[in-house]
Amino acid sequence: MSSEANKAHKERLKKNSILVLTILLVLLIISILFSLSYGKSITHVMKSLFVDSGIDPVVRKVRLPRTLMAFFVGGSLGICGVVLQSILRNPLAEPYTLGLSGGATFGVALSATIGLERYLSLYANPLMGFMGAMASVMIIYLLTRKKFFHPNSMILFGIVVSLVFSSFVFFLFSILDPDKMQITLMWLMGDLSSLDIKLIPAYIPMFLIPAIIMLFFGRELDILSLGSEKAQYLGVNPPRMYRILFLLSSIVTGLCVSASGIIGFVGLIVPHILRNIIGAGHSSLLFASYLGGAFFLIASDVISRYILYPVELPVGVVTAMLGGFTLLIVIVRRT
Amino acid sequence: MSKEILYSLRNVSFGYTDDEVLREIDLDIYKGELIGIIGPNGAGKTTLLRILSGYLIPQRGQVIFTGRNIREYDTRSLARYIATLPQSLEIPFSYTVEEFITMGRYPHAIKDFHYGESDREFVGDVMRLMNIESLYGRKVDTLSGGERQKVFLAQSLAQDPKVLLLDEPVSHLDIKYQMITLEVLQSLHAEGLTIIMVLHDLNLASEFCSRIIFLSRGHIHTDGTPSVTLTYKNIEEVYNTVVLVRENPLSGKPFIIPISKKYLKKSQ
Repeated sequence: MSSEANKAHKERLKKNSILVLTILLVLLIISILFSLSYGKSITHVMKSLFVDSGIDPVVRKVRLPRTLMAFFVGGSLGICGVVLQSILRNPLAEPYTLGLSGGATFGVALSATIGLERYLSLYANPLMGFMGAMASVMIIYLLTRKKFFHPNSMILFGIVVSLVFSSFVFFLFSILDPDKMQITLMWLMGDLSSLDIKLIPAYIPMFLIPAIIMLFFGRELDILSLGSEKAQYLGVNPPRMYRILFLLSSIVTGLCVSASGIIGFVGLIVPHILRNIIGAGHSSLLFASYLGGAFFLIASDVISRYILYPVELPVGVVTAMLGGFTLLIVIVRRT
Repeated sequence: MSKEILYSLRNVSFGYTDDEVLREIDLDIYKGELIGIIGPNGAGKTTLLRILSGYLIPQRGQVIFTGRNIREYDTRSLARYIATLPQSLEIPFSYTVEEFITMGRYPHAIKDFHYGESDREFVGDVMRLMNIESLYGRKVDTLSGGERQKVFLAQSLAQDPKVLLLDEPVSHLDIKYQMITLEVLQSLHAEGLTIIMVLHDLNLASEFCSRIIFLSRGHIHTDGTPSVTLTYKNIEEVYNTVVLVRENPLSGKPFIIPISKKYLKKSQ
């Protein structure tokens, strides 16, 4: 009797996660259309995308790259959030927990101080942001390697490294002239509009390849969340797996930061909500979080453009407000 | 019973020279044994279990498992032979019972990127064996302590192990679940599974284990059947506690009664 019931239950679960993924996909498409059309009709968008870019060059030259970046950055932050929450065994971890944002901000502030854009033009901020993020990751890696990547020491070192970098940033701010400080501050709050369109073709494969690799580690993430001792008993090699996943997620987060500054809460709130809807199993959670993260960031970006029209808000402010409120509701409802 | 050797520990020491947790352990373990490791807190019980599981590599000495040094096995192949249940297991996310048990199939299902139909069937069989089919669809973090322990055990059995290592599998369970758990282990043992467990309760060790390894301050104090190891002399010497040892009228095994100091004063 129960094996029949089991089967029925399994079917229901499968249908449930397929339903959720379909809903996410539909939401994602709607948000993409909104982001592209910006008030105009869909046929107008389609025409200017595929038939003749002359009709409305803004769609192809401004809104399309911006929407693409929101898609990849949002999806990447979603999936990296899932990976880090499992490795660190903490549902409140997010891609910036390991101090990546501090290092990236320092890189950008440094670039503004020494006027690097004179030599590197558009590449200055993305490059310095990425290098700053990687520098803090390297420091965490070297500090926690001897402790076998123990979650608590990783989080602790992450906070410390981030604080140290922040102090350097404030030091630079104090000697920086206000105009340059304003640019760095805007970048800090997350900004999808400033990335140059020429960089996008290079970014797309760099975003996609590590994310696709991470999608295949669902079963390992399930097991790693039980802690490294139990993971080893179940046949996962924790140090090796930590190294792979830590590296992949750091690179992707570093790329996100370099492309669009620090966009908070996506990697925290998206996995958190989806875990409640489709369950904790990582194989489907990874995929759903990519779609969910992409949807959340595109929608936030649309809101950031509409809400104080014609003034644009930094998208990081919108994600932080939406994410913060949602998290608050989720936590209050649970307790 | 054919005495085929499973583990052979030679001169095994763990820890640093001035502070060794285990000292010069020599131990042979045979296939199909049901062994209890007992001893006071800090005697090295968990360390010994972790060495047998391959999680800890001793600083000195050799651990030979089925004819090869345990260090030569990689993590996956070891997980196909040995299932280990640590003393405590914290689960940060609310997996369903079947998701959790299916993780035990991992060492057998590495080549494909997902668990197959045979894995699902195996999990169904294990759940039937453990009598936890009613927990289907439940979240692991909503289970009672006794149910959790059964689910944890089911995950270990899903590994289809030849050896089961358990660190205090019953110490936080009530008497009903203690008996259920130990009786399941006993029937698994009857089917040929080798079981080695750390136990705190001397009476449960006496009733359920055919062999007891009595650890004291990092070395083996005594090793043998319950009636050989669980004498009042051994227990008083190792635990520094006064006990009475009687015979369980039904099983004939030693039965240990701790004696409070106030009764000692009276009788003197």
